[in-house]
Amino acid sequence: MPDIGARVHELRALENLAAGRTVIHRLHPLVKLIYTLVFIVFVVSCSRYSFAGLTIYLFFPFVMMAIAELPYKLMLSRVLIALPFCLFGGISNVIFDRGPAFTIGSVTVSLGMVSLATILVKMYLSVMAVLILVATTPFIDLTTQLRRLRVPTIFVMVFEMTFRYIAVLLEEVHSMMTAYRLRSGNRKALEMKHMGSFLGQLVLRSFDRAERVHAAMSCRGYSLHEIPRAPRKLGGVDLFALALVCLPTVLLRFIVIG
Amino acid sequence: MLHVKDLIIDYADGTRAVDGLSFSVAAGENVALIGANGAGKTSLLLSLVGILTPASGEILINDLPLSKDNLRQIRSQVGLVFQNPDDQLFMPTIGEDIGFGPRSFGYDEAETASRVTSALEELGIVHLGERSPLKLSSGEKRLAAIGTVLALSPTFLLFDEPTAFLDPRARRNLTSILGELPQGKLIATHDLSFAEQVCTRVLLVQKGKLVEDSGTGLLADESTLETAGL
Repeated sequence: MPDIGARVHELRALENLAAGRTVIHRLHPLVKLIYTLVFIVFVVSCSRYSFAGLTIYLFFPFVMMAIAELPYKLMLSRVLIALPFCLFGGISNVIFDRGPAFTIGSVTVSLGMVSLATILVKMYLSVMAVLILVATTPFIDLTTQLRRLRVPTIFVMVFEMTFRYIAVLLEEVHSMMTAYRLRSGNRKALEMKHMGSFLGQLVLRSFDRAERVHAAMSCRGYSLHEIPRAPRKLGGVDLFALALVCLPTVLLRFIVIG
Repeated sequence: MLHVKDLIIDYADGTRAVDGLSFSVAAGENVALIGANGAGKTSLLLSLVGILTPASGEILINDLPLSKDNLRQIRSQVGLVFQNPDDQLFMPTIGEDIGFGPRSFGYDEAETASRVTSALEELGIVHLGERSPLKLSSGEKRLAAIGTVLALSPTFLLFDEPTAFLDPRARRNLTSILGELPQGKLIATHDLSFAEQVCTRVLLVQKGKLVEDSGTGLLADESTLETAGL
């Protein structure tokens, strides 16, 4: 029987890291949000063959993880989740872009392979930047900043609700699966013929549960139309830190990578 | 004073959940709301915090009428503790869950932290502050759920079946804690002995109507209770 608590704990592992007290954790959430956006934009805007230049950025996440005392293994394992999607998207480059890029000994590396490698590095850097942001900033501070930045309410709401209801949904699945297994000869998996009614009930129960959770949130002042107060004002240290990290990112992009 | 006058609540399918209820709860008073399943107890509680909109009638909280315009003020003065604490605890830790209300109401971090600490201390659950709700017992979850509403310093507390899911020890602990909380309370319950221990007044509802408003002596009147489906 899957331990629902353990599954939810896995899901929340990154958020739990956000309770840290390092200098990066203490930075204003807006600084981290802006820097993450700047970093991703500059990484993604590099040309499709700029693999060599992009590798310079590879040390950025490691420096951040070291300062924020984040576990490398956990962070790297999370990045791997995005790997299949990028491989699937980039594999066509290898097939269609066969022009020679350079040779290593007698092996010719095609432009398509360089392009694929560039996509993978971009994926690694972008996903890692977001993971570091999430692992160093409490979720509520992130959504507060998004709302203060006037990001459309509907996007923030979907973001918040998805995050909050993952655990709720898992609990519902767990209790339904327990009831199913107890009355189905202890089958481990759901039979296909029961899938329709199981999923239908899950949707209805989740909807009902979501209504109650939303009511509980509303009772304690949650409102989509209220712009929450910032946890604290942006200070000189925050602005200095923003300049400190943005400057090398920008300089590397324009001077080294080109 | 929590004042309800001629309250009527209809469900979307036209069923009348509450049918002309009128009563008051004074500051600091503990009132039990008893009735059979489907008598309208939960609907009444939800309407008192504006989750359900009445078809007609008036709700006044400390002389402030409940309306869309002052919903936030009302919700800061009236705290509802849901029947199932799992509906009420949705943040990663109990401390964050208790801080959700103060943050939503715009209190700064220092004030929020202070309110979280006060609520945890008041309920004797400081040790649960960093724990996940998923790992708590029913009794601990119940206290944490109460903490989430206490953090807003309400003047009235509404409870929907507070002793549900509790073992005898947790129930005794809850009885003791509720007896000490100074807020006025309206407690919807089937647990008649609990109502007798905590409350000084009893409202008996049947099919959405108020059939008795009296002292706790009513709880010993078996024929009246049986007539009301209890």
